[in-house]
Amino acid sequence: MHKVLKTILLVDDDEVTNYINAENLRALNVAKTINICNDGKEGLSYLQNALAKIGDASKAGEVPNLIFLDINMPEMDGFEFLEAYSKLENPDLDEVVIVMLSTSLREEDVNRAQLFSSIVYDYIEKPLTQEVALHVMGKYFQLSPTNNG
Amino acid sequence: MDNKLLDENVVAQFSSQQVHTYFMMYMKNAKSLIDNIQKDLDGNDLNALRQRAHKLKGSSMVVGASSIKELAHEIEDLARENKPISQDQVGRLQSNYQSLSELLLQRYNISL
Repeated sequence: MHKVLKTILLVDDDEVTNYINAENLRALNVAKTINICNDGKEGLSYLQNALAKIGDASKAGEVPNLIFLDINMPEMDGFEFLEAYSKLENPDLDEVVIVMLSTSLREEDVNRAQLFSSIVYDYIEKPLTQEVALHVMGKYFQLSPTNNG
Repeated sequence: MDNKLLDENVVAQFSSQQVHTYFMMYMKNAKSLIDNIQKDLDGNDLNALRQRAHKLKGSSMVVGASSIKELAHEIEDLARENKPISQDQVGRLQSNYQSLSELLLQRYNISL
């Protein structure tokens, strides 16, 4: 059994991928809110705004528990996002799980992702099926006897 | 040809409403990407072409548009390696798009 998260953030430049991924995640009821950003720059901006609202109870929960991050995106790709994310150095991000998604498991990308092993929890080949999503939830957000969402 | 156009295992996971919604969205985006890939080829903009091919590969994968996915992947790899991309390859992308469009109409009554 896994927790129901407050927020999952999808960062991908493909509208079709984001739409279907969000539908799959909603169908699984793994999070109360699914938010979408269309590239790394938007994703970073979203996080900065969410962090700024931490003290605002009405906006609580916008900092995602889980980020599914594409690699190849315009403006700011996945690795550039991780570089910028690392520099945020905000303790409210300490428990955020980042899972990178890619259409291929190219060695150079996997190796590059490992440079961010302190913040990237997993590197998964697309598509983000319901089966894969449940695997991620079970692996990183398992319910324990003392926390049930 | 029909079997290569669509991965039925992927499509089988969608409800009939989802098939309509997903493929309407996909085909609109794919048309734009393929049209722009042609322009990128004509203008010899390999970087833009590679990015568009990558995006087309990703969205094709998620809806099960197998042959378009494979063609986009081939083109992406060639562009990444700075190898020449032929008009024939882009032409096949266009013809596979057309064939998929016809298949979607026949099988799922999806009219683009």
